[in-house]
Amino acid sequence: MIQVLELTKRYGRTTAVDALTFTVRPGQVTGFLGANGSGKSTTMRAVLGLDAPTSGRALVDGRLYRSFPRPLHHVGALLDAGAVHGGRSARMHLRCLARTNGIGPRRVSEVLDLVGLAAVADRRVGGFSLGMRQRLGIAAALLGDPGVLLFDEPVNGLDPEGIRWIRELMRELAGEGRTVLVSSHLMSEMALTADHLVVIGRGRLITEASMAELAERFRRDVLVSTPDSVGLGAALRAVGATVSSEVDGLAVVGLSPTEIGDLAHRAGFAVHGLVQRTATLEDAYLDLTDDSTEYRAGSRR
Amino acid sequence: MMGDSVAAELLKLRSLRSSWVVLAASVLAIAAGGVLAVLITADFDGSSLERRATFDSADMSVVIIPLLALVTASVAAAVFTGEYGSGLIRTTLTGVPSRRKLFAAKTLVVGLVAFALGQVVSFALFGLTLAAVGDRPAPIAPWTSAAAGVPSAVASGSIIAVVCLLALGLGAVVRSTAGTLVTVAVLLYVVPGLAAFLPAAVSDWVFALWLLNLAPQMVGGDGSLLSPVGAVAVAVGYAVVPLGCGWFLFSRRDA
Repeated sequence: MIQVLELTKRYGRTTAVDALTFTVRPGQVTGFLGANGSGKSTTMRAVLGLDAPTSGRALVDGRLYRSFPRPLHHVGALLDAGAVHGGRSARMHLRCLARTNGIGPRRVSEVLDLVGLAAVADRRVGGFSLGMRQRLGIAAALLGDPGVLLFDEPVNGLDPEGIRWIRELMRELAGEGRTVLVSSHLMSEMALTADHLVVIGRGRLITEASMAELAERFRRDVLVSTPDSVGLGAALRAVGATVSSEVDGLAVVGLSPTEIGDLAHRAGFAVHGLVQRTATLEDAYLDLTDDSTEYRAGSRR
Repeated sequence: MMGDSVAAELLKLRSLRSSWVVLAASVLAIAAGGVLAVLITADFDGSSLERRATFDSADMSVVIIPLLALVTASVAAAVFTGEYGSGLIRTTLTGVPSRRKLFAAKTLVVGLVAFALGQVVSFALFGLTLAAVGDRPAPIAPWTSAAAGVPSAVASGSIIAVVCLLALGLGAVVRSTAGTLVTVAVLLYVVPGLAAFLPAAVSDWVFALWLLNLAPQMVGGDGSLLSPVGAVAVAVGYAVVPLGCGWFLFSRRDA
């Protein structure tokens, strides 16, 4: 479990994270969503004890990261795939990190196998593609078989096959009861991976909800196709629905497709189509972050 | 679990090509020192008595150690700066979240390895010089007896460790390899040149406090302004002050 409690981080006059509070629970993949520069990485660095919070706390399993004598056995993190020394082999890069936590070379070979780098394990990392470096970073995160995992934008630079692999890996890790936090600036990616979402904008919490709740919240309207738009529109308005005309028909808010169908039947209007429209999660996300942007811009002036 | 951190830092050092390049350079430096000692001795033998009186000693550590110091410093500086360059320091700190432990492990590894390397090079040069000079008299013989040369070998070898710890500490402050090495190079080679423009009273002291002039003063060589203890203290200061600044910033800065 990861607990972020009233976390605030300022760099000079810039506030990167602003009184952020959320909890990441075990057994599910939690997506950490926000635009570039919204404070995701700063929050993750604070969880890992790399950046000292200006105020507030970030706890892993109820403890400060720095209080773990051998943290890799509790927490694994992929922060930046580029954070390697190009002159070392993949195996040696992992062995150096593993050694700090008393993890032996055999486990290093295991994780190299697990991420599909066994064949290039003894090649210099300098020649690795971004995708291979991501896999190496994931291998590093898995070294200590930790119960809590943080991945910062793990699909960057991966090819489609790699992206699917990492999605499945994250689902698998969560399925084993681990706590998995994955950041991304792409809602479409989160829609496929995450069970739960923490959305932030400009360092503030915008929403924390399950994927299903979010979809429900952004259920939009019902599109009704009918030869008599004027007549049916008036009938729907008469029972309190909000109706607007579109090229394809009427956009109706406030009634379910069933209610609309029954009403049309009783009033004798022909209905050619009845479609429940839901905002895509992408739209939902943009709506959410737009609000935060407006709010911010307003409050500053 | 300090041992784990130290072992990991040793592994890091071992797994970089530059470490082995420095080792090769050290072997080369020893060989070059030996050849130079033989050459200067042969020149001495072929010279007139008057010329012999003006000869320098055949102790080649005076030339070799200052050069090797910068080469070893480049590896020592990179112990911090190399990790900052790529962001690897963050990965390292997720493994060793205690900054005190990490800083101590790096200092210990650099200090011990550099000290050992410095002593090996220094004593190898000492042995080669003794062999080349044989029973010839001063000034070509640097020491009155082999035993008399031992303290001098220890002192000149220890300068390698001082310079490496200086580079390590400075690297933690500056976080850039180039910046660190330029500063080390200025301290090693430029300071005495600048001191020459100062009034004699000042320049004598600058020269006495110059890093590469400390080893002879540690063993009470001719013209020492500092006492042996004083020279050792100044050498320790060259290592401890940058390390202290490095620790101050490293323990407080975000990674």
